[in-house]
Amino acid sequence: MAAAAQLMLFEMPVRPIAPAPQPIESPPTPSPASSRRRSQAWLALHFTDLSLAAAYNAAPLDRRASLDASAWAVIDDDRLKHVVACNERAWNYGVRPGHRMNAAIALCSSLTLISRDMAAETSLLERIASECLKYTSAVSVQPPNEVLLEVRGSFRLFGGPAALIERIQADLCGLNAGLQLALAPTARSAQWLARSSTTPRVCFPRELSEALGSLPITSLQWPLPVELQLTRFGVMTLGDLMRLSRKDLARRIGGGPVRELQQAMGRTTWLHRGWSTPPSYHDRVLLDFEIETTSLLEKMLERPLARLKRTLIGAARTIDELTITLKHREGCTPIAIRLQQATADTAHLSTLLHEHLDRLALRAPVREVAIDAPRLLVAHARNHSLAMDPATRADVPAASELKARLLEQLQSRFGVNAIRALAMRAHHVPERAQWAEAPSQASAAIATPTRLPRRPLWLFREPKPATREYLQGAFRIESSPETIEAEAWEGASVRRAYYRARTREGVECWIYRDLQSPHDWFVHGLFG
Amino acid sequence: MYAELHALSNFSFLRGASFPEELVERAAELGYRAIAITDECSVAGIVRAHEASKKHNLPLIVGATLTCTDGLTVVALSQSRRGYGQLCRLITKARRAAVKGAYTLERPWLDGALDECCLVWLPDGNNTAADGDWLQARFAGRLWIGVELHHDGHDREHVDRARKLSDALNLPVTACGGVLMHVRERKPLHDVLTAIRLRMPLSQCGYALEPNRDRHLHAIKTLAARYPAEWLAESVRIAERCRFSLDEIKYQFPAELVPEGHTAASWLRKLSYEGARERWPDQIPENVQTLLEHELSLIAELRYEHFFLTVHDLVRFAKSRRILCQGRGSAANSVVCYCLGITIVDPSRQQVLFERFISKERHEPPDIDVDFEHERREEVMQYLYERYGRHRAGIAATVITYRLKSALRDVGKALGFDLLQIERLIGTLARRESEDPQELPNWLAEVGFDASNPLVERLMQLVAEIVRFPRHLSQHVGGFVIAAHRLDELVPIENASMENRTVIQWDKDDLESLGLLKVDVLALGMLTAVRRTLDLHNRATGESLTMATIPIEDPETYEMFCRADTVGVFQIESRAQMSMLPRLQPREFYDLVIEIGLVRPGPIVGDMVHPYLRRRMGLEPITYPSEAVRRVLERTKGIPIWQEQAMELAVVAAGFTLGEADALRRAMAAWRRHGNLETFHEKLLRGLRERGYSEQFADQLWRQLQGFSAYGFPESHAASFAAIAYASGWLKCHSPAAFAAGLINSQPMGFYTPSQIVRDVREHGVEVRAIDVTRSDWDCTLEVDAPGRAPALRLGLRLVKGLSEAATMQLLSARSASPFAGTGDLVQRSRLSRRDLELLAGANALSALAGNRHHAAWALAGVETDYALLADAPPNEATPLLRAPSEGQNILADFRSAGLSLRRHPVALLRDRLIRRRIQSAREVLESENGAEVRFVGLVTLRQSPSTAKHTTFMTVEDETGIVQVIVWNRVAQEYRAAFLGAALMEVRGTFQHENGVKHLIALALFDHSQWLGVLRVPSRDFH
Repeated sequence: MAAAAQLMLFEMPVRPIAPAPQPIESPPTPSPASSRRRSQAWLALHFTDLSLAAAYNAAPLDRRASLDASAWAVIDDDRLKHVVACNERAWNYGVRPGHRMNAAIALCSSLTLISRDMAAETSLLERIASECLKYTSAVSVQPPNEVLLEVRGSFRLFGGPAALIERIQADLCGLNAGLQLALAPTARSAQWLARSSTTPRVCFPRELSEALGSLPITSLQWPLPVELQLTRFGVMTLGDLMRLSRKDLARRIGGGPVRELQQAMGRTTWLHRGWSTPPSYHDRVLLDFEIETTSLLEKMLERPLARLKRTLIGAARTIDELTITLKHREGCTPIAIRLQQATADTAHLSTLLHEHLDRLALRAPVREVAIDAPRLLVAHARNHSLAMDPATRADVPAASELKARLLEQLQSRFGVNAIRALAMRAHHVPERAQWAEAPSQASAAIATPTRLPRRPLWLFREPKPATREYLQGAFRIESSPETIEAEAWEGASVRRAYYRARTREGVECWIYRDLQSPHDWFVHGLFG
Repeated sequence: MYAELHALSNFSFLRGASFPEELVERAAELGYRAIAITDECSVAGIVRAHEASKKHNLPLIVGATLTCTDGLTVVALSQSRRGYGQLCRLITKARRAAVKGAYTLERPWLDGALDECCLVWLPDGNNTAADGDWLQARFAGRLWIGVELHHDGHDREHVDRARKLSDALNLPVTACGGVLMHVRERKPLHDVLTAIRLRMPLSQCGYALEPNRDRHLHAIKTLAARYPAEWLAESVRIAERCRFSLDEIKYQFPAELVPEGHTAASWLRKLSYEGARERWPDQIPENVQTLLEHELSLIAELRYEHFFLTVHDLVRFAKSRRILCQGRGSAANSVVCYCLGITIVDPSRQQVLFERFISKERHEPPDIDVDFEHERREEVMQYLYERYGRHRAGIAATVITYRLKSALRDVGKALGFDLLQIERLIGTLARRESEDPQELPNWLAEVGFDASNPLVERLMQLVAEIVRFPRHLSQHVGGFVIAAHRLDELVPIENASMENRTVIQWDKDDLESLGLLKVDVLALGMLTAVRRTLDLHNRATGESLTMATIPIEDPETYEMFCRADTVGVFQIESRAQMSMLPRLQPREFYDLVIEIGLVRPGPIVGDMVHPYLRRRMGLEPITYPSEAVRRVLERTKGIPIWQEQAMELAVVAAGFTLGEADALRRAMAAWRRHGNLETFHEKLLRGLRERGYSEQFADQLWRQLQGFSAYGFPESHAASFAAIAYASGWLKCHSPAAFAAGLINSQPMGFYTPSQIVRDVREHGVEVRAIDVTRSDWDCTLEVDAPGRAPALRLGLRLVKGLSEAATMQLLSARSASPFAGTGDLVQRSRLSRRDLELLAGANALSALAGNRHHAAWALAGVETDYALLADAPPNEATPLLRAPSEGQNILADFRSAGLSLRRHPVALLRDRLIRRRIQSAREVLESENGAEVRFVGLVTLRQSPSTAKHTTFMTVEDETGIVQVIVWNRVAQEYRAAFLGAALMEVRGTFQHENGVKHLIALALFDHSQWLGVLRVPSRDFH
């Protein structure tokens, strides 16, 4: 059902999608009438252990098992290396968030440490937000660890606030992210209440000022200087704060905190209801007749791809992966297209698709096609001339993009693993100084010392044993020795004395004597 | 026939992979004719090489490798003392021109700078002919072309080019090695050093690593196959021209201290007798006179007069500035030093033999360290620079070497280990006592590393190899070298990290090896506290007491020591000392000396404490195995406590000569570093056996020596410390308010926080008054309400955390103009920043002007300081509805802003709750019977884990009624780990022990109740 709703949404190109799930600050003086017109119900989800859950989710499966069995903690990457969060085992050892790393180790010497990954946390929070779209359409992500939902309209559907809260808790408990939630008439008050209470809290409009009054000011998470200032005034709770003149208070702690107080009390609005962009794209085409040839299929896919392009350009998004699933009467054939560079250009996608379809033998007629992009990425706009209209924007590729496209095309034709690039690396051992690897965009330039003696262009994959030939006098040595000895930092240690030599036939080759016993001779490459 | 002319040791930090002594030893083994140690613009390792060269009888050439900013590289080798001086000056110039650890050498500086040095030019790059011409024009006759062949594939080209250059410039060619390690097996370590230097993992070092293992000291046979014989012979010819040896360095003292018409000896004699007449105005006692004459003649014979005069000059300067100082060290407790005012320890009251420390047999400079007030030592250092000039005075270096932890970190990074893992390993090691790399595998396994993993094995092997490698030069704590002429012709001087600080390239051991004298200018916080206490005391009482005129052998003071009432008293304030005092019952000065010497790691490890105590209490007979031993040990009841006694025993009981005994002492001091004590074991046992001592005595003596080896403490040091301890104790006993103020005003120092000091002084009946902007100064002061009444202690503004001294001075000058009328007046006139004002309000220092701290903070926050125009038009505000701070809040705020509170003890607020839980107060605990089971809750104010008391932690836990000393055994600490490490408010269940006036609570279980305090956290000082 959700998919269909989204498809609908994407079918309406006239209305652009809200670009990012950022909160929209209300204008400074809202009309009180509009905010009072219909009371709202905000549900705040506060995740105390988001970083823990994010780290756990980012770990591979086999590692998760070992994490389950051990005490572990997420460490902030700052200089002091504080514990951000820890699992229950670590907690039982006495480890607490805020401890220095060394203190934590002192408490639990077997503690496993994991570096904090902010990007993983952000994406987990976004994922949670998108999950929440099934409860309401008004979802706001509040980094670093909160999601706010306006759920007034969903009560009927889910059977009242208590049932809704239970449902959400059940849905998210598997995440182990330390969910705390609160329902309140304003977004701000819900947020504050959720932070301060480990059990779900429901606050009705008539109880609002009482509920807020007992909150300690620490749960407001105001900037530290403000919090300190309030402590100096002896203000411990929101109740203490509300007794003070707002004008005098604003003079002392600034307007921002006072405005938040107003928002919490519902005197000013904070968040508008707003759509959150679904972070993925789905489209499906039901065919009126079965298609049996790939060329027809290609033709048929033109329209859905054009639709995708409009969506992407309209939302200023790009994709880096696209799956086209061809559904047969029984089973389906997926075609995965991975891009070197994220793009919104479907013409290029068509070319790639063409290469894929060219190699594809349909095993059965196709009845339906699904198009899925797992991620929509924010497009980084390049500078373009003013004359260009948005529709043609992505059609002017840069040189690096052209290179990437060539590569993609080659990979589509010969398979991803068939293409290798030659890479260089600063290393004394010749065979470690170059190797073939999967092609990538970044090709680092390396500085070779100028005094390095000549190297052969053609280096054998395996040096050829040549002790017998050498003893028979097959080589005439033409250079002074170049001894290359590398320690066993990677792979085995190498000890060789290289020479430029000429065979009787006049071929110039690069030979070496292994300095480790049995002191054999080898030919390693040929010059020119 | 070969002499190595170009070898870099590991004193070319992170470049050379062998110690200088290893290079010398290896060169001797290989039959080289000589070796030059030529570090990168440095001679930091040369003294060690020099020692080794004497040992292996191999000529050492002193030199340095110099690379100019334009790439020209030469190896400079000193031919003579003058050439060496020139080299030192050039190195100094280059090092001083760059930041610490680097050097900048401009080519023109070489011009005329090295006329008595041989130069080996290492041609490199394109401009060789021009470089050759340039050098030839300046160093003709002393210049060679150096050729280094390392099988880099171009050896033939190198040889050809050298021949061509030699023909074109008419220069001789010599072979040299460009050696970076003494044996090829050091190559892996060299790779690691390179990676550390480049701050990259090894996998990314690429071509920066040496391509092969060739840069080591080769066998002559190998060299003969590689170089023309003529080139090898040339190296020996050069070596023969470089005849300079470090033995030629003769240190001369600065001459200016002796006025005209006097010799050094006559001047020292005159000063000594003047001092003696001051000390003994009536008549100099006969024995003192004899001792003085004896010492003076010994000093004259060894020509050490200048040394004593130099120290005297420093002390005289300090006294003229009213900076307290006290000498210590082996020579400090001599009659000469007493007369010169270097020490206040009267040697005629002790049996320390001066001759034992300055002996004719040992050519070792006398040792005097002088402690100065820690806040004013800089003045003394500046005086030294001023008096002798920066070109003649310098601070000795300390060679910072790799320890286990730093080695693990750096090698781990180089090998590409996960940094968090490495940090975790180091974190585990942080709590280990020994630093023995041999134990590393076990610890690795404990932290979850697989010790059999090849990479981990590699790590361990390399760490073991790199430990003790020098990493960089740092400055010694206060060892000054003063030269008669230019210091930079004696040793190069380079920049230290501190601005305007320079250090010489040699460390303390190097100076000692060469017989150079240094004066130690050290800092001691307690001297600052004593001077301040004396000032306060004199001002309050009108007396003019000085440290030297404090009445000696005061029974009341010793009574106080016997009660272990010693919070803040120098040296005897630690937990271990406090528990010893009631048992030892010090009644005279020498008891105090023993108290200080006894509670030390050495005597504890050597198992001397309990035998001594038993003998002192008369529980054990005092016996001596022989009369000779009796003479040595009589003053310590037959138990060797002092390093001096250990040496003397070796002499009288095992037949060591004084020189050998001294070698033993040095071996003991350096045992941890070099581990060569065993060689003496045999000799000692043999000597004892021959003289008829029992095996048991021999065994015991050896064990005691080993104990000393780690932490030996000399009697002379203990005597000097005891003098300061006595002075501080007397002040605490007779002028407690002034002493507490002096201690607080000298923070940070000592064991105790201001909070504990204030608590202690209040328990002694002194009234302590709160911080108040209308009354307090920066420092704590004494307030005498009426003549004859005991002074009260007014806390100073320095206790307000974060408040700067400059801001306070602004405030005080405004206040001295006229008293503040109110908060607004204070803000306007003092012009303090908002932050400073908030700090004052937080400390409740404004209560006289603005009421409680909440109202003060509110009022301050509302004052517009930014707009002068608005100053006279304050906004019209209603009185805010602010809560008055509760007692708990006030205590909390007091602790937060000043670290102490004069209100009730925080635990007092919890008393009802504690009574309900049947928890005893400190007073009740301390009145319990020996062996009683008790439950006690208090704030943890001190955690101490001395290295001698294995796995035992002493904790000081206090509530509003007193302090309980808790002993936590390791087993309990492990079981209640979280509470043990983290609790601010701790419940201790355990057994109370009460023996000989020493009261302890032996913990059986620990619980963390910190949450009862709310946000109040009292910081504990944790010592290891």
